[in-house]
Formats: sequence, structure tokens, C-alpha cells
Amino acid sequence: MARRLIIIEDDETWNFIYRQQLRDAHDIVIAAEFECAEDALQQLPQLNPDVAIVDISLPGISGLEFAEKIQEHPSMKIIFVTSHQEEYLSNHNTHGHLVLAKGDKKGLLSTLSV
Amino acid sequence: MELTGGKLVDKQSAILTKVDLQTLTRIELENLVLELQNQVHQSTSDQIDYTKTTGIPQKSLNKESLQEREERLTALMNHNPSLIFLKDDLGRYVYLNNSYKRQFVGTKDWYGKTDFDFWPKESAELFIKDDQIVLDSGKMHQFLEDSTDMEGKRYCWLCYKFPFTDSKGKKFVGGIGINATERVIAQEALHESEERYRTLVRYAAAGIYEIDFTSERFIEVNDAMCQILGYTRQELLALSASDILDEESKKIFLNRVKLAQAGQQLDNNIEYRVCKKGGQVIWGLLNLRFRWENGKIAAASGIAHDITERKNAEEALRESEQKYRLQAEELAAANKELESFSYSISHDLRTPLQALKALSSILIEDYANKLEPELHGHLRRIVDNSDKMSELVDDMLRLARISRQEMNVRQISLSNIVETVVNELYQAEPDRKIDVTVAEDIVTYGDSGLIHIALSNLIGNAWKYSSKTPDSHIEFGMMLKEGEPIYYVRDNGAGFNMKFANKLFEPFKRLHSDKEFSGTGIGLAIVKRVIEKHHGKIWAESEPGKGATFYFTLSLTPKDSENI
Repeated sequence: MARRLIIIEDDETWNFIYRQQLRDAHDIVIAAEFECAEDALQQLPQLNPDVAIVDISLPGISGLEFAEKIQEHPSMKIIFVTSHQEEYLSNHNTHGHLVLAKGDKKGLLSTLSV
Repeated sequence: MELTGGKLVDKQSAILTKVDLQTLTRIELENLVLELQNQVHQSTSDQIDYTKTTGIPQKSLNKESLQEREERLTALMNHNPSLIFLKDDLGRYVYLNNSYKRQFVGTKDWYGKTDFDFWPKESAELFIKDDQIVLDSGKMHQFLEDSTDMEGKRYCWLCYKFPFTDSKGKKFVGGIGINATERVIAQEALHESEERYRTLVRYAAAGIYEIDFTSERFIEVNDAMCQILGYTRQELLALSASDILDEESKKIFLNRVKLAQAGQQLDNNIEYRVCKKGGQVIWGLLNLRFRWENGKIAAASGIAHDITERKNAEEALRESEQKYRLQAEELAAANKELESFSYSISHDLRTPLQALKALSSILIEDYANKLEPELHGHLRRIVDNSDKMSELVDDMLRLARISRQEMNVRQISLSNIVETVVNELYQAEPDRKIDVTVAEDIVTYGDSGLIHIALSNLIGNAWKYSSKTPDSHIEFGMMLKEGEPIYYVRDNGAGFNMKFANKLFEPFKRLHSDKEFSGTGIGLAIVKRVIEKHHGKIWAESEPGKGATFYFTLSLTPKDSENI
């Protein structure tokens, strides 16, 4: 069964890029795309996704804050994306979730294949 | 008459006084001489009442012979260490006492001889001149005769000379000469030293003054003091210290006097604002030494310097220091702004560049077959250039981050860090054949993370630029210069032309083409920044084809670990 994935990203260019990159991912279906974390939180119960690609820098609630708020969905895998990966190398706020550089196709595909 | 225990008859009161002949006053001596005169003249008369003086019954004294009296007199004269003499009006000696004979005549005949026979010409002339004054005036005189004897030894005579006419009307000059040489010499020495002191004070470069506290006026001022204040000596001696001080300084001065009077110890050199004649105010450095009399301050003396120039210079220095400090602050602020700006630009460029790269990759990978072949080349070039741009931005960010980073300063082992870096390089290139020498136990103070970055770049460069050299060799070590350690990384690789040495540490300035050795040229700029954050210096020496040596110093101490 295909895994359901949501994208929370405010820059449309990156939505396009993720979509394109995800075409090479096996059994992944993009269930929804959100421009901000608040919208995603609202829809989360109905959607019940398996994976989420979350931009760390979002307007309003940040990607990190989003991760804190979704404790009710512990089974959802979160993949953080950022332009400044090095700033989060030893960051405790990421709660153990993977932090990828934006545009890193290889990293994205490899973490999804697990 | 004997010197000590001699008895002098005071004609007026007939009281016996025991005196030392040497300290006789003029009046006493006059009386003595008169008395002697009397004795010589009135040898037969009994005008002196001896009963009152000696207690010998008058009756028996009357029977004393002339001879006995003359013997007594002679004894008195001859025991006197002073010179006692009598000359006639032509300067011929008719009497000399034993002291005179013993010291200046010897065994020669003396009766009828003159001063020219006993003294050198100049001294004799002096004596005779004085004799003449006495003869001409008919009065007793006191002279200070500065003479020399036949051997050239100096004698100063305090000489009492008196005129005397005998019963036959013949004129004589009598005299008593007291040796005052030592006293005169001492006085002259004192006078000379006083003169020297006076000259010193008068011409001293600093103002020297004395204030009397009763009159509250200057009682002594030297030339420099007058010059400093612009007054003449006369004018200044009519002024008091308060007159030359401005309002505030006056208060300070009077307060100090009060404290000193109360017995408090004060420091001596105080800066006052002093008013010159005409009102101009200058800065004076005055010190005061108080002189006490009966528990009160009687006077004060001191030295004054005009320190106006010095004070002005100090003020100017303070002002310029202030100016420089402000400038430095402004510069630091501007630098910080620039750094911040450069950081945010690099920061913000990242995302679009990443998007550029990702989109280009998509085009190349996913649409390759749909594109015309020549477009592949164009795309490739777009990707390559945006890669390059990304790298540059990444480098700029890395460089900016070095400056922004807070340092964690502690003791670190450079040897260990170098070993780690070398291991990292071997892991990336296990097949590389290279000889690496690392000096052991080199420790210093610094931020280990930043130093790791710096050494990674330096050793990495050495590794990279010697990759084309057979038998490549890298060395890390330390040497001492004037007690300070200088660390170095040396390789025998490509080296560089020293002509461009000043460009070495500038960001993005490369001395080799990308074809020869890859890189963006940010490495050394990063190293320099790390070294500078450690208050050190870095420089390099090289010869093309002969390798390069990079030297650097680190100047942090344990104390710095608190401040950075």
C-alpha cells in the first residue's frame, strides 16, 4: 500500500522540486500540500499521513514547533528541510528527526526507502 | 697677663672679671691698653688702689719697686699668644712681646728694625699704612690685616692699634694683633658657598621662592620665579601667595596651610592655577616646605615649575585619545554592520541557489531525452556555474560564521589536532603516499573547534599542493623567537611566487588555476580569521616549485578564556 505524504512548504518553487524528486520514490503518494503549519495541523486528523516533509522556516508556526504539536501522531515520520543544514547539526529542537538540505534528492529518496 | 684666669680691671666699677683675652670686646681691650699705658707711665705713682683688687694691704704695695711692677707687666705681656708691639713714628720697633719674637723674628736683632725686615713687602706696606692712619688721626683703630709671612703662609690679624706719646713728646704706635686667620678663612668659605648657593638659586631653571607667614608675603624670589609670573622682583616681594593664585587654587592653598598647621602630612607637589601679571592664567607645579618656629608655621619655601605646556599637551592627548576611541568604536560598529550584511546576503542567497541547482538537475536528469543535444551543453554550463556560485556563497557564509562564533578558550593540543586532521585526510584519500611529521606535545590556549578548521585548511592545502610532487612531505612544528612560540606548516609542493604573498589571505584570490588545483580560495581567509580571533599573526614564505611554509602565532592566555 502506498504511503501517504504531506508537504508543508511556503515557497512554491520547492513544492515543484519536491514533486519532481518524489517521482523517483517508490510507493509514495502526495496526499496534500500546505503553505503553513496551522493549515496542516487542522487537517491532520482527517488525512492521517505517514510522512511529512516540513520546511523548518515557515511563516507563523515554524516547522520545529509543528513537530512539537503533533505528539498525537507519533507514527508520522517527519523529514525537516532547510537551506542551512549546518545550523541544525547539533540542535536539540529537532527531536531526533532528520534534517535534510533543500534540494538534496539523494538524501530524500534514501530516507524514504527505509 | 695670662690668657686664662687673667684679670681685667673695669675702671668704672672696679669689678674683677675673668675673661679669655681672645674674646675681649673693643672697649675692654681699649681699657686694657690704656691701663698698660698707665702702668708704663706711672711706674712711680700709686694711683691704682690695689687693696680693692688684690686684697694686699696698701702699705706693703706702696713699697713695691718699679722693677717688681715691670717684671709683672713683662710676664703678662710675654704669656700672651697675641702679638703685642710698639713702634716709633718712623715704623721702627721699640718693643715686641715674646709671641711676636718667637713666631716672626727668631734670633735676629729686632730693636729699631721695621716691618720690612720681618714681613714680605706687601704685608709690610699694609701694616705701615695702617700705622699712619693711627698716627694721623690720633685715635685707636681696629684693622683686619690680611698678610703673609716670609714663607708665604697667610695670616689674618685682628689688630688694635693705638697712638701714644711719651713724656718727651715722642710719638709711638702700639698694637695688639690677634690671629683671626682660621675664623676669616671659615668666613670666606661660608661666604663663597653662600655665593654659590645664591647663584644657583638665582639662575635656577625653576622658580624658587620663600614666603613669610607673618607678613604673608614673598620674602625671596629668584629670577625664574619673576619670569614665570611676569613681575619684577620688587613687585613680587610686595605680593602674597594668595595674590598669584586663582579663586579655586587660593582655597586649595589656604586649606593645605590649615591642614599643615594642624600637623597633617601632605604631599608636596600640587598643581595650582596661577595668575601672571596682567591676568593670564597658567598652570604651576608648586611644592612647599614649611619652616616651623615655636609650634607655628613661620615660613614656607619651595620650587615652582610652569607646567602650562605640559597640561595643555595632556589635554590635547586626552582629546585625541577620545577622538581615536570614538573613531575606533565607529569603525568597529561599521565592521559589525558590514559583517552582518554580508552574512545575511549569503544566508539569503542560499535558498535560490539551491533551487537553481535542483531545477537544473531535474532538467538534465528527467528531461535529457526530450532536449536537443546542444541544449545539454548549455544546461551543463548553467549547472556548473550555479554550483560554483553555491560554493562561493557557502564559503562566504563559512567565513562570516567564523567571526560570529563565540570562542570557548581552553588549553588545547595542536599536535593532537594536527594528527586528527591528517587522519581525516588519509581517510578521504587512503592511497596517498605522503610523509607527515608532527611535532609532539605542542600545547597552547585556544578554541579547539576553530583551530581544527584552521589546521584543516593549512594541512589540507599542504596535502593538496604537494599532490603532484613525488616524495611529498608535510611538517608541523614549532620554533621559538625571542621566547615566543611560532608554529608552522611546511610542504615541499608547488609553492607560490612571493610577489603575490599579500594576496594570499584575501578571500577568493587564488594563485593557481582551477585546472591545476581545485578550490575557491576561501581557505586561507578562514585561517587568517581564526588566527586573528586568537590575537595571532599569520604569514608565509615560499618559492615556486620548492614548497611553502606557513607561520602563525597564537596569543591567548588563560585569562582570555573569561573575556571572549
